[in-house]
Amino acid sequence: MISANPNRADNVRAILSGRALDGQSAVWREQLENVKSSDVERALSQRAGAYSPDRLLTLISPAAQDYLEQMAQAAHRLTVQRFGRTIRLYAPLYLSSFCENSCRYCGFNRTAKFERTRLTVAQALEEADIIASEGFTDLLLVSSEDRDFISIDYLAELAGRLREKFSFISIEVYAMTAADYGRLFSAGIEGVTLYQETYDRRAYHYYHPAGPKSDYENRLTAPDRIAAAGMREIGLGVLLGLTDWRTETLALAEHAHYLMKCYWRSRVSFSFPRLRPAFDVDRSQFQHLLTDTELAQMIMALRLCFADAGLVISTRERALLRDNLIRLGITKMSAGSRTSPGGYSRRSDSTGQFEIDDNRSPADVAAMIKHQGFEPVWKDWDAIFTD
Amino acid sequence: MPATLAQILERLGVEAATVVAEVDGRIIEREKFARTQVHEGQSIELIRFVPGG
Amino acid sequence: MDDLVIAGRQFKSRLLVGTGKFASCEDMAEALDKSGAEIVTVALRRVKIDNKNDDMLRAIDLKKYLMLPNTSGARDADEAVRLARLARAATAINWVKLEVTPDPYYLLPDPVETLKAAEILVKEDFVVLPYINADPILSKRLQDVGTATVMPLGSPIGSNQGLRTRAALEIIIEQANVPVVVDAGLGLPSHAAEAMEIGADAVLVNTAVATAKDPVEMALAFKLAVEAGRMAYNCGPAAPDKKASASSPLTGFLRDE
Repeated sequence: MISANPNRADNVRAILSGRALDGQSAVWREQLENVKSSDVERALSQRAGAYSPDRLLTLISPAAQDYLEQMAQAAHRLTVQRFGRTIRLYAPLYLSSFCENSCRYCGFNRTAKFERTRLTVAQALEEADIIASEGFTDLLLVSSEDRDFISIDYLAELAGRLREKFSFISIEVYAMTAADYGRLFSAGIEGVTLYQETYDRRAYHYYHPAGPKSDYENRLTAPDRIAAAGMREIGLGVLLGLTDWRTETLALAEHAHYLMKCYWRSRVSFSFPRLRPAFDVDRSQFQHLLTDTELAQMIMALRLCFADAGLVISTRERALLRDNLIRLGITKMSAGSRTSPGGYSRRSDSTGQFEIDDNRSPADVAAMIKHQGFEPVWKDWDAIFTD
Repeated sequence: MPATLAQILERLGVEAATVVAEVDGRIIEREKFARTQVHEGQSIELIRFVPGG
Repeated sequence: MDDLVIAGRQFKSRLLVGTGKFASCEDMAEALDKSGAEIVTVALRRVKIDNKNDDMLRAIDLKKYLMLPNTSGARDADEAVRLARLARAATAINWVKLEVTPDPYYLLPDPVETLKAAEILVKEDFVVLPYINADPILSKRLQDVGTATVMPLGSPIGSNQGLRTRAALEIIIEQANVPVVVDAGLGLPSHAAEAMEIGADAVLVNTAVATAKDPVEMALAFKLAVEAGRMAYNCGPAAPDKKASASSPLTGFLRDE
C-alpha cells in the first residue's frame, strides 16, 4: 500500500469546499462571464499542458468559444507530442444489471422495471472470449451495485482467469474499501474508473437518493483508496448534463490535480459520459445538457491543462463526433460495445444501461483510426513482466 | 588521569559554548560537560559550526 | 512579494544565503545583511586545536537569522544523520540542510544516501531540506517521506553555470507538494531571477556572492533579482511564441451543430 505524505493536511474534500466547488457555483458563473478575449489569448500563450484553476476557467469560459480552432490546434499538437499518433482501444464487459441504487438518470435504477441479468464467472468468460476475438486486450469490467453477486471474490476470480487473455484489466463498479482495492490489484486488476457523477453536494444527494451510492463522501474519497492500493490508472469523470458543466469541470480538474500530486505513480484519465436516452428515464428533468461544441471545448481545455492525462470517449457518442474528437486530444476509445450483460454472445435486445450511438464494429473503428493517420493500439502494457 | 569534559576543554582553550562534543561517538549535552568523566582511551570529538553553503 | 512558507514557518525573503567562502567576517556579515536573507546555512567541522576560537560565525546575529546547519562532508546517510543530530544538540534547532556528497570533484549529492538519511531524520522530527540533483522522481520520493522542501541544483556547486537543469526543474516545480528551493550553481542574479520566473519558491546562493569582487553589492543584486523574478512569476508571463506549422482545420465539424 502506498500512503500519501503524512504532512499533507489538505485532501480533496477540503480543496473542493475551500474553493466553493461543492455547491456554490454562483461565484464561478460570474467569474466565467467576466473572462475577456485578452484573458483567453493569454491563457493560450502560456505553456501548453500546464494546469492552474484560473487557466482552466479561462479555457472553458464562454469567451473561449471564439478560440476553439486555436485550442484544437494546440491540443492536437500537445497530444501527439505526449502520446504519439496512437489511440488505445478497449471494450466494456457488463456483468450485471441488478442494482441497489436509485440514481435518477440511470437505466439500471432499481425502480426501473425490466428483466435484469447477471453473469456467472463462466458466462463472463464467454463474453470475454468474444471480446478477445475482436482483437481487444484492454478490458473494462462494468457492474451495477450488485455487491452480493458481483462480489470482491467474484471479481478477483474473474480477473485471475482473464489475465492470460487481456494485458490490461480495469473495473467500473461500486466504490470499495482500500483493502478490497488492494485485493483486486493483487488479483490482476490494474485500473479503476469511478465517476463522481457530480461534485455538487446538493445535486449529488438529489440524483442519488437511495442505496450505497447515495454516500457522497465515500464516493469522493474512493479515488484516494484506489491510488493507495497501487492501481496504475484512475479514471475520473462527471455525468455531463446533471449540473452546469463548467463548474463540474473545475471541480473535476481540482480532484485530478490533487490525485496527480499525491499519488504520482498512477495515471489519471478523464472520461466524458454525457447524459443519453435511457429506458424508463425521464429526460425532461435535465436542464444542463451539453452541446457537441461544449463537449469539445471541455475536452480540449482539459488537454491543454493536463498534458499527460488520458482522455477517454465511449460509444455513447455518435460515430462522426468520435471521429473528429480523436484529433482534439482523445487518447482512448471503446468500440463495438454492448452495455447489457450477455450482450456480446446473445447480441441481445435486453436492456442496456444506455443507448449506444456508435454501432461500428471494432474493426471498422480501427480502420477509421488508421484513416485519420493514427495507429489503433490494442495492447499498451504487459503485466506479465512484473509477475 | 581522568578529567571532566569541561576541564579538558578548558585545558585546550576551547569555549564550551561554541562546540558540540562527542565522547566515543555519543553526543554529550552542554549542560553535562562538567559532569562527564573522560577516561584514557576514550575518543573525544569536538565539532563546531563553521561557514558553509 | 508573497511570503515563503517552509514547515509552517513564514519568511519574507526568498533568498537563502550560504556563509562559506567569504574573505572576511565583516564581508560575510554585511553581505548577509544586504541580501535580506532570513535563512543562512552553516556547516559543521572538527575544531582545529591551533585555531580554536576562530569563530567566524560570531558575526552572525542568531536572533536575526535562522541558522540552517548543513551536513556537508557527509559521504553517506550515517554520517549525515550523525551531523544532523550534532547540530541539533548544539542549537536545539531541528532544521537541517541534508547534503550527502561523496564525490569530491563536483560535490554532487548521492540520491540513495540522501533518501535514506531523510527518512531517518524525518522520523526523528527534523525539518529536512534535502539537497539533490534535479531528479523529479527523487523529489517525489523525498516528499513522500516527509521532507519540508526539495532543493534541486541548477548546476554543480560553485560552477556558476546557472540553470543547466532547467527542464528537470520545471517538472519538479510542476509536481511538487512542498516548496522548491533551487540550490547550487547560480552564478548571476539573472540565474536567480530565471529560477523564480519558472516557479521556484526560493533560491540558495553562496559562491556567487562570497567570491564576487564586491560581495556586499552582489548580495543586494541577488536580492533584487529574486524579488523581480517572483513578481514576474506572479504576474502571469506569456510563454515564448511558438509558431506552429499551418494545419487543416480541426473544429469545422462543430459548425454544423
